[in-house]
Amino acid sequence: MSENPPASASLAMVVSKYRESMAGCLRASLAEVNDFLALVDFEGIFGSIEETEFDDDPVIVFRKMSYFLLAKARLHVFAALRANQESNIHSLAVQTRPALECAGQVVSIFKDLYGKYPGGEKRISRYVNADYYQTVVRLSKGQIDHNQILNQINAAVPMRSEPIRKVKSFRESEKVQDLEFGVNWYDYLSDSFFHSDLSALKNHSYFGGVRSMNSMYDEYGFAALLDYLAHQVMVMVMYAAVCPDNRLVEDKRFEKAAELLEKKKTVSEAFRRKLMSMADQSDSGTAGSGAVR
Amino acid sequence: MRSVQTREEAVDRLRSGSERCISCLNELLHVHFEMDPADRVIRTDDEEIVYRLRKVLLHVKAITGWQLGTEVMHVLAPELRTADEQIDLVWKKLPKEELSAYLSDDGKSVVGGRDRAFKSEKELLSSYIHPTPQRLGLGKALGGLGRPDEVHCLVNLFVSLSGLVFRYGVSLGFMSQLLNGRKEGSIASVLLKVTETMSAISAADCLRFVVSGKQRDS
Repeated sequence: MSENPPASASLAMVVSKYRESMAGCLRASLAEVNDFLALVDFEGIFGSIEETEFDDDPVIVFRKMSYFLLAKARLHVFAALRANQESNIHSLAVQTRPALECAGQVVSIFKDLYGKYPGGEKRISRYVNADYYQTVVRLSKGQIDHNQILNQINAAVPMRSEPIRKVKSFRESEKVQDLEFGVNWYDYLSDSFFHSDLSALKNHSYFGGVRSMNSMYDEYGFAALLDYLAHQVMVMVMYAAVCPDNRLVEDKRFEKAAELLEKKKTVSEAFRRKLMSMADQSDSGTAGSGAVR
Repeated sequence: MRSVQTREEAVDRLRSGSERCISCLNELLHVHFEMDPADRVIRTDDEEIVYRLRKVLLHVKAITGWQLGTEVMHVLAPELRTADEQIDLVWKKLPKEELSAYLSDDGKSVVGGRDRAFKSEKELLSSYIHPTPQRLGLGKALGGLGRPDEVHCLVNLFVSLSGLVFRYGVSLGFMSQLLNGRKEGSIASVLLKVTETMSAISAADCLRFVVSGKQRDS
């Protein structure tokens, strides 16, 4: 999957190896998602998710949601790997955002369903309803009055334990709040790579700039993005695999994802430690040719 | 323009129209590279437009690398949306007299009601960029992962790509004037090609062949 940092190499070479290694981790996480989805009945689950289904069996709803989100993340992870291959950090960054939204939602739903916090199931139920309402509103493209939409939805499924209410659309960063540093990363990707003010554009590509494409800072930008994305995809698979589906349990999907994540953590920590120590040496003027440009 | 007679014809027209848009984008990329090579010194008075269009170039490059199909909108949408965001900001810098050629008589809507179309395009793209479980349960033409309606998917693709060619082309034309790059001729010929393509294919006409979910499932 990945290798440890070379013992003796220039700073530039270590950064480049770090990027290569994290791309390997992301490829491994994509393979994990593919293996996971190959085990589930994906075609049979399309259609809306009803709150009544949630009342019957919250686990089935969690499964459905996880499979959808994993399948969507898979597309963007594939695109992110391609962007890395093309050395296009802007493309890598914009493909990372939806993948993180998928990972964040899987983790949040899982925590609400199995976590120790009170009211978790109620929160998912509200989320399912809000998502349903928002989706119908968006599909209506302003052609149908929202009150009419609400009445029709509630009349269609009269057995709901809780009627659907009008809700504001989700804030995207809320979807990633249960990922480690999720909101910080999401905001960074949005500010630097989507809205991109002029000062960001004039900077190095790691900060959303177009000034340079091949410097060591750019290489580090790729490595850091790949590192974070690979980590969150593995976390997403792990959470999704806890869901008690016999085939997933028999195939030890959770254990495999957890093992992969541990390996990735060890490798990326080794690289970061190595880079820190080299940067310290560089500051004290002993790093020689590998100094940061 | 002869109206589309069959579903197969709609698919063919939309697919070849989208491919022509990709080839127009490649031509524009080529012009852009020639006009603004990476090592060129950027003057401060036109830096905002140049930097923003360099970012657009990177996203357009990513877009042109994909094989077109029913699932491709998922990966194109983030690139299209980000490129559009930058082009929007470039257009705000365009002098009114420059834009007047692309405005209708009321001075509000861009040719052929593209302004309104662009708003709904943004809405369409956001359904691919911000996934939620309910949205993902829908068909591929609506931002989901369910069974694709090929015509509907291709209409989305064609409308998005032709809009991008047009907006990117106009922005490059403006930059060419700023840089005195003498590239207006090449850009105008690409714009002419995309306009011809757009007038040869009516998305609304093709949408007659979109099959409703119930019909498709039966």
